[in-house]
Amino acid sequence: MSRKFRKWVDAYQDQAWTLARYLLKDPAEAEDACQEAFVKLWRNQDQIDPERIRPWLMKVTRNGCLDRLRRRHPTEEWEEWQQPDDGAVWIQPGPLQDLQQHELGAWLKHSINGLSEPYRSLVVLRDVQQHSYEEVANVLELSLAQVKVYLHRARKQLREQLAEVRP
Amino acid sequence: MTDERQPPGQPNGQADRPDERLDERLDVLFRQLGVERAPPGLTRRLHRIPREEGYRSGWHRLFRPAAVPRWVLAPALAAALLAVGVVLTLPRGPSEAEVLQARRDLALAFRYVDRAGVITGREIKAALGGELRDPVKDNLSKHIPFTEQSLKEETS
Repeated sequence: MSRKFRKWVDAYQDQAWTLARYLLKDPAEAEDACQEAFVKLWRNQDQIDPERIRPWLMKVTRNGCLDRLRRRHPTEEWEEWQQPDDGAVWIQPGPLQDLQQHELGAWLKHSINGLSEPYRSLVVLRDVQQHSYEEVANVLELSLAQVKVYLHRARKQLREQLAEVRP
Repeated sequence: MTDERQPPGQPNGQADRPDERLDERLDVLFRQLGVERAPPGLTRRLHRIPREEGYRSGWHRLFRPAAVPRWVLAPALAAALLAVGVVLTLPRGPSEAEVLQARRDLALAFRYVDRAGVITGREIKAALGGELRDPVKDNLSKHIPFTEQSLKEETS
């Protein structure tokens, strides 16, 4: 049992960590959120389909992060932060011109961090971690159509921002 | 993993091109970002979970419903019920009070039979004559000594 769990830790810790890092930004809090998710995995391992460990873990990690954010944003700021909206979905990262390729990576990370939920989780899970659409829909509890529409919106915003930086 | 990305196209193919170019650049950047490696401190914390949780859960994990396959629960329950049933139906000797009560009930029953015998004897005598009466009407209770005694106790 312990060996199987160790295998899951080795296979999925980086993905859980990356998601928590993007959502929470604070590394110490991201570590705590990851640990909480894996403790839940340990406690519920008998009830989870072994084929669906990764989406289950991603969902629990994300929910844990959102709970932490909710505690961090006790007022309507949270509502505003997590609502998908037709309007601007990210906070402007600021004027960036003539960036080198490695700087572009940092810029993109900053831009993803500025996206609101569920756009940020969508981009991290689908574009950064390359999960399938079905898995993303499962993790975020959205329909496949919603995943495609929201992802399209998020990428459109990122494209427009990239066009400003690198026309 | 296949890249199914196909943003809803615009009617004009020309307008799609800059978007496609930007999309490709974004994809390159996403690939560069990739998945971050978890810090070694976190890996150590995660590897410690089974030990820390295991001590706490211990043997009472067995009582969690999912710890035992469900098919085991039905025979286990049936076996427990059977054991209770066997204990309840085991033959045991009657108590003294029960024996006394049974004797009283039996004596009463014989009194009814005797009464019926007397009445029947009268009817036989009336119909057939005295010779045939005695073998039919003789008290049954006089052949069973303890019922005689019980009758005396009750009438005294």
